Amino acid sequence: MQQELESEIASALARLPVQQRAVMELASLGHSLVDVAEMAGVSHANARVLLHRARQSLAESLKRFREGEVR
Amino acid sequence: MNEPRSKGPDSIDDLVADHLRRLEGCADASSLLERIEADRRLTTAMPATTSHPIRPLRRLALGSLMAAVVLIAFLGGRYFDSGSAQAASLLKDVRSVHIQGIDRCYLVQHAVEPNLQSKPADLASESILWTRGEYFWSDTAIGLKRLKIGRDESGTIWLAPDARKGIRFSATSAFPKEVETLSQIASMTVPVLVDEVLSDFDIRTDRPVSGRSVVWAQLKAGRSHAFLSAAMLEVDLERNLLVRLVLWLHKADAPNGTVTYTLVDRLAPGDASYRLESHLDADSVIEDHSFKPEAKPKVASEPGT
Repeated sequence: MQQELESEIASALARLPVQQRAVMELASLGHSLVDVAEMAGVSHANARVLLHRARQSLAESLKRFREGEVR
Repeated sequence: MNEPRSKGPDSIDDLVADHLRRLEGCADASSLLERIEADRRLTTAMPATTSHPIRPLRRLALGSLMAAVVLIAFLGGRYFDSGSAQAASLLKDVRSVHIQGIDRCYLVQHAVEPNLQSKPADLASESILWTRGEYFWSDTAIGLKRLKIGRDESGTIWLAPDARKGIRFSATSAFPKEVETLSQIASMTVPVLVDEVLSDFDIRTDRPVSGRSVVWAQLKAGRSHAFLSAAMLEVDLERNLLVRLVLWLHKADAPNGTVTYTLVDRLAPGDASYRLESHLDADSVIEDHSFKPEAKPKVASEPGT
């Protein structure tokens, strides 16, 4: 099950558009949204949107592995 | 001003963070490494035979070579505007470490775009890449196929589609431009790699977190690159080592998958592993190939031609 989850996370990340994946990975690594926005060359608002969309896509892909819903 | 992380034990952020941490630990590399260990053979080379170019192999080789050597693409030394000075300085330090003759091992995972899996060469692949300064070799599984490819100390590029057959391309061979560029990138010694790859990218870095910095490289507006659209590099600042690299590939202006390199800590396989012979059976055949020089358009006749 864990291996399946790992595989699905990798696939789901690979399917994300470039900026969504970057923002998602950077944010999950603990970088602030301000820093993430600066690095990705987008506005803070845009970074927030990209992160939201990335989370939504991942949540959809990982739905069957997760017990609760993501905000 | 942080975006709140999603909450809960199964939050997306935590799942991704755990996934990235596990990639660093890279337990998944064990099966590949065991396979490599089982395949190690230290035999002597067989006499070379003549042969002809093999297009399917060449295609596989190009794909595998790309996966193997693009790792080095962002370790060059000339970059950017002043705002990217920090990233430039960081990559310069990384390059100075990576160019040393020390063995390093990366797990390389190529994920294809979901709608581009129609051809065998477009299948996802997983490789173990060993690098040592100018040399490298990788063991790649592409669908059901398996291919080893490397560049030895003489500059020869070699392929081993199986243990019974090896193919060499001499360092003096007229490599196609794409092969030449990728090899030069791998060698890290030729300035053209910077011109070929980095000059078209904007590179930024962030403030370090837990001793690591991330560099984000994106194509400059209006620029193009043969196969790369963006890259993300994670650097261990204490060792100046590239611990993770994600490349976003494109082809004909469409996304073409990603390649992720993750540094794994493994015992070095030894000098011989960088040579073709060590991957072949004793009774194998080694073929020497060469690329035909690319035809250049005739502009005018030159004297004596």
